[in-house]
Amino acid sequence: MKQYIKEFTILLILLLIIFLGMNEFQKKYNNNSGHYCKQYQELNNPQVNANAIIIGTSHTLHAIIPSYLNNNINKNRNKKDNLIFYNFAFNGANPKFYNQWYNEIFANQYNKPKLIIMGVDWFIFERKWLWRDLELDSEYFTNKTFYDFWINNKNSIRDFDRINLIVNKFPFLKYRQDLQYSIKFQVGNPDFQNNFFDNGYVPFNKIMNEESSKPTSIKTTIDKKQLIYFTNLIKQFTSQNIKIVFVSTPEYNISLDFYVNLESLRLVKNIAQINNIEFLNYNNELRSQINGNELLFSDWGHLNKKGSEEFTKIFAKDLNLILKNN
Amino acid sequence: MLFNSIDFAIFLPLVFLLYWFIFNKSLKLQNILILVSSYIFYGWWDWRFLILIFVSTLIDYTIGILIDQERFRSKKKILLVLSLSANLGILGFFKYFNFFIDNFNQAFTLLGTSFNVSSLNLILPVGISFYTFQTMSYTIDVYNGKLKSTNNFIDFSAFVSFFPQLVAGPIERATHLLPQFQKTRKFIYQDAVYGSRQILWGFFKKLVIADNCAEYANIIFNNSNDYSGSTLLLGAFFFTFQIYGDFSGYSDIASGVSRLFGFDLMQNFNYPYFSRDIAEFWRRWHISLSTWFRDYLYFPLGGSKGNKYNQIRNIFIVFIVSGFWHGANWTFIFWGLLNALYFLPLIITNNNRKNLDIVAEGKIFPKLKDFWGIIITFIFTNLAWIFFRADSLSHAFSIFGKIFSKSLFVVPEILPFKTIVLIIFFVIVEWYGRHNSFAIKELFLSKYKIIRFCTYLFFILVIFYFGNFKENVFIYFQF
Repeated sequence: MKQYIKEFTILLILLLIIFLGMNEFQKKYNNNSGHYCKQYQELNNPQVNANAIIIGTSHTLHAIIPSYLNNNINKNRNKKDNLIFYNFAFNGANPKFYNQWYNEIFANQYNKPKLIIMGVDWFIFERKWLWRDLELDSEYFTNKTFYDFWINNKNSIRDFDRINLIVNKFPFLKYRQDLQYSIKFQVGNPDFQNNFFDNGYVPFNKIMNEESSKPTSIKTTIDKKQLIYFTNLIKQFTSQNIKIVFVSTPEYNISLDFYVNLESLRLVKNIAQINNIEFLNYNNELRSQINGNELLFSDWGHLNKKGSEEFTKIFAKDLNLILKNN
Repeated sequence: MLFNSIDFAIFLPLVFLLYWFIFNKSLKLQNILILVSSYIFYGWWDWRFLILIFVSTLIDYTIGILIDQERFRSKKKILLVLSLSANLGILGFFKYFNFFIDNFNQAFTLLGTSFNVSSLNLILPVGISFYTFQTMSYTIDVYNGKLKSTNNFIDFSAFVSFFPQLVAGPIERATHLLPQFQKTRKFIYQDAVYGSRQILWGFFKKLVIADNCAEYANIIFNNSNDYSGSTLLLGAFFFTFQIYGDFSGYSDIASGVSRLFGFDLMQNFNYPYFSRDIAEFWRRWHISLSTWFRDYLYFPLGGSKGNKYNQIRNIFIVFIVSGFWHGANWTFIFWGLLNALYFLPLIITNNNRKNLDIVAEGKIFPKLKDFWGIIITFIFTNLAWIFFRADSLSHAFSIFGKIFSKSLFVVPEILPFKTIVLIIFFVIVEWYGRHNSFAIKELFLSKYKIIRFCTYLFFILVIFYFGNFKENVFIYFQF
């Protein structure tokens, strides 16, 4: 019995050593974009100290360049009223994610913003498309935040899957199925150009082809829970006197009729009207030559670097008008 | 509680430590621990299942004693019939009631009359087909004088509910397993090592082979209308490895876990996909069930005694009943019938006991004749599994129709390279280890511990990086 337990223990220790090694190795070499890490670094250890944040999905993340906004918005403003922008949009983020992210992490670690630019896509209430759960980002949490989530998992906002919290905390578990990238010593996802990282923004550069020029599906459902999370988020922001602007970033070559008839956008427009929120829809009322220019897109929904530069300039002008009038 | 779950990962070491360090002072205490652990294990799914297994245990324990006490054969027979009726009644009610009602209603509809009997909302207790057959074997063996009844209720209950093999077998004979509860068990290092290796191999088969194949088999079978014949054939191929990896993997884990506690379970799978004919396949696949049917159905029907017609009749009955045992669906019955048809030529030509040895024993490659035998047997079993997996007979026939069409010769729409490579690796390891009760029993056996440890670490890492951890239930739980 002693020999068996001894050998079993040695095996477990060897396994632990291997997993610790793989953890460090896969922390560096994986297929995940490096920009989440930088966004959370800003949250955990504020350097930019933005007072105007951008939230939304990948469409928003890869469309709005904060430094362009900084340069254009603050031209005619007093220095003390300057807005410093940071793009905290996350790929796949949904209203539930932002509810938890804002209340559990942002509010405890960052200054309350004066302005929130909220990306609202037509699939904003589609849970199947917007996959991000806060647990998936546990790798970037501070240890304090992680233990707090692990131990105190009981209130209406917290509803964390503890297994996912643990699995995503350790790179060797999180990137388990991405071993082929690790063994090729791949650092981050090459589609995201981290060397152009700009206060949260990172260009998404792919060449659009026939397949990627159209969405996989144009049917979307309204997940009632996501709608409730969205409404609550808006209530919270307005109760804190935070200025909100909704924006739907340009998408490639989808007909105007499609956007006009969408229930999800009708709901968002309703909420905007009730709460006196400006809604800049660049696929509908503010459609421009960008929507038809394939050279500005990586795929049907994401602007590439050139596209985001063009768009941010236009968006900055429209945002300036809104801010001047308020 | 699933073997591939965190609950079991905590449960097993806890029971192991209690068994060998705290409860090792007395055999009775160890058996009580086994019994309590087994009830916790089984009740983890649903505590109501415990009532049924307790009732089944109580009935057969009592009847076993009464049979032994009874002098007259006729009265012994009545008691046996009572036991069989109770066990088959429980099984029949939970598993087949709705099947018979639905078919009954359909038959009346076909005859032009409406006779609507409602089906019931029944939960099928996990493992019911396994433990009822296990307890029936006890009363039958006591009746036949092969075994003396036990008056130790703890031992008997532990035998019935023994957690490693409770929910998906092997279906143990009382003559083999019950005596092991009645004698002192000692911790034997080599048994524990073999047990641990077998558990490792079982998890490899389940998590790496079965669950990865399941992903593609499910996509293909659930959307069979969208795919070509070649893809459907590939789907059948994946299901062939899914069911083998799943079921034999479970049996390996069950056997390995039992070894850790000093128990020896029967071998349930003996490399069936290396069979050279269908008779050999059925000597190697789900051995505990096929031998159960052989001893308790085929032989009492007359077996191979009498004329050829009787033998063929008995074979067909056994295969059809075996199909029906798997589930309340015409697809399983048809699957059984198909296997009986496969068997028929061997029976007629008296070639059903030809290949009794290990294929290519001591050699690396088989003879060409054996190789073709393996391939043809594999193809036939592969095609039969389509009925096993399909939702209905019409679904199965539509798949067949597409397979045997021009679309068989197109490139499959789904071709998961990684899964295919894993299957090839698996087949090579199984081939290399085919003379052992499980493939890695003596793989890379070396006096150097470092080589053995490297082998274990290799397999653990393969399971970790290539395993599918979505907590897929073992297929045979539904039986």
